[in-house]
Amino acid sequence: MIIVQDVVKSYGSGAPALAHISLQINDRDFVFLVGTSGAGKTTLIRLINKDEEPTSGSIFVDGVNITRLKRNEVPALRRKIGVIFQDFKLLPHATVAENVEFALRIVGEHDHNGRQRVEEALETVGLTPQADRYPYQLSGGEQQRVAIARCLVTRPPIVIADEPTGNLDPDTGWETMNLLVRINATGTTVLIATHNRELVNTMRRRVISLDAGRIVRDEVGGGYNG
Amino acid sequence: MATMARLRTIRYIIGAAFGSMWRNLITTIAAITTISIMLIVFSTFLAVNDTLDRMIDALGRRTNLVAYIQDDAPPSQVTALVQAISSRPDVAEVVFVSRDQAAAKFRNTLSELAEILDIIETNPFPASLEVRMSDPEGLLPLADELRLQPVLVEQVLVRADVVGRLLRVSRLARLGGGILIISLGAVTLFVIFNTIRLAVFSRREEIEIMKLIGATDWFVRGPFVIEGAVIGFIGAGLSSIAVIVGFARVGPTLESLVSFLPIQTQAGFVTNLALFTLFVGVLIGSVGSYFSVRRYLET
Repeated sequence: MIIVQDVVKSYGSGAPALAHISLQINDRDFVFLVGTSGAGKTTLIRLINKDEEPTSGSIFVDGVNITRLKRNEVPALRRKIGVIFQDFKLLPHATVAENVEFALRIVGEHDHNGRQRVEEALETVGLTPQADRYPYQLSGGEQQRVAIARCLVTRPPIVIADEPTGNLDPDTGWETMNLLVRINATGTTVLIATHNRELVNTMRRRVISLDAGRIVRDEVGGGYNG
Repeated sequence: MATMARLRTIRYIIGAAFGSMWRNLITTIAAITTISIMLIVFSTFLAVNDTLDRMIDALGRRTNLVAYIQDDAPPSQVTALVQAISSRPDVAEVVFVSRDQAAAKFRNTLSELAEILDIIETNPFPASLEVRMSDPEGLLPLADELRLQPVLVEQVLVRADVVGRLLRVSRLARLGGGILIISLGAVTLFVIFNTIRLAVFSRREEIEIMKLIGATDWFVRGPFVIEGAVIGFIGAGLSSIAVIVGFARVGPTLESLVSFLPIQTQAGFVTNLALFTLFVGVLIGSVGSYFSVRRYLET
C-alpha cells in the first residue's frame, strides 16, 4: 500500500511541481497517473522511489514512512518497488540475461535457483531467444521488456512505470501494457505514469489525473479525460 | 544461508571488478600507465634524494675539527675534555691521537719524509683530538669553546670552507628535498586521483542504474574499489620493476664514474622502495576509487 499525505515538492522559487497531493494506492491496485508534461507525474514517481525528497508531507510504502528513511535503508525500499523507466536504464555492458540476473544479485537471491528464475522472467516477457544479446542490439520494445523482466525477477510487491510506452510504437506499447496487466494479475500493485490517451481510455482502470501539481480527478474505471 | 549469499555476493563483486577492467581495457591500461609513470618519477626522485642525503652524511663523517693539545697539558684534564666533547649530542666521535701516534702516522703516510724525524731526533708533533660531528651545525660553536681553553688547547683547526659549504648544501638539500617530495607527491596523487575520477565518471550512468534498482552502496562501490586496488597494484608493480632494474643497471655505472658518491644500490633500499611503492599504489587506487564513486552515490 502506498499512502501520499499532503506532499509538496518545489524546485526553487517558482510554482511547486506538486502542491499538497494526497492519495492512497491499495495492494493489487492498477492505477494510471495521467496529465500533460510538467503536471508532476514523474516527480511523484521519483518521490515514491525516494529518488528525490518531498519539500513537505509524508509518503508511506508498506506502512513505512519513507521520508524518514536513512541513506542505508533506501536500498531495502527500492527492492520492494520495481521501477520501469521510459529510457529503460539497462546496464549497457551486460547481456539481457545478465541485466535480469543483476537485479537478483542485488537482493542477494542469486542462488542455485537464480538461473532458472532469470529464464522464467525472460520467458514471461518473450525474450528467451535474445538472452545473450546486448541492449544496443535490441529494439526499444525489446529493451523495455528486458527492464520489465528485471523488475519481475525479484517479485517486488509494487511496480512503478514512468512513461513505459513513451519511446515505443503503438503496437509495442500495447504489448508492454499487457505485460503490466499480467504482472498485476499475480497480485502486484502497479502504478503507471503515462500520457498515452488511447491506452488509458481502452483499459478503463483507476485514473489519477494531475494538472499543474494538483490532483484534479481520481476515478475508478475512468478514461484519460474522464 | 545468509553467509552463503554473502559469499556469493563477494565473489560476484570480485568478478565484476575484473570484468569491468577487461571491458574498459583502454581506460585500465591508461590508468596503469599513469600510475606507473608517476610512481617511477617519484621513486627516482626519492632515490636521488636519498643519495644526496648519504653524500652529505659521508662528507660529515670525515674529521671536521682538529684540536692540538698543549704538550704540558695535564693528562687527567685532557681525558675530561675528551669526555666532555664526546658527550655532546652533535658529536659523533672524538679520537685522541697521542704524540707518538701522530709521529707514526706521519711515518706511514709520508714515508719518504720519515728520515726527517730521524734527523731531528725529538718528536715535533703535538697530541691532538680529532672530532667528527654528527650534526655539522655544532662545529663552529664547538671550535669557539675549545679556543677558550688555551691551557689545554694550543690551536683549533676547522675545515671552515668545507664545513660552511657542507652546512649550506645540507640545509638546502634537506629543505629543497622535503619541499620537492611533498609537491611531487601531491602532483602524483592528483594525477592518479584524476585518472580514477575520469574512469568512474565514464560509468556514472551504470552507478545510477544500480542505485535505482536497489543496490546497496557497497554493492556498487565494491567492484570499483577492488578495481582501483588492482590497477594501483599493477601500476606500482611495474614502477617497482622499472626502479629495481634501473638501479641494477645504472647504479654500478654511476658509482664507477663518480667514485666519491655513495650511491645507494643496496638491496635493502630498493626493496623498501618497491614495497613502499606497492603500498602507495594499492592505497591510492582503492581510496581514490572509493571517493570517486561516493560522489555519484550521494547524488
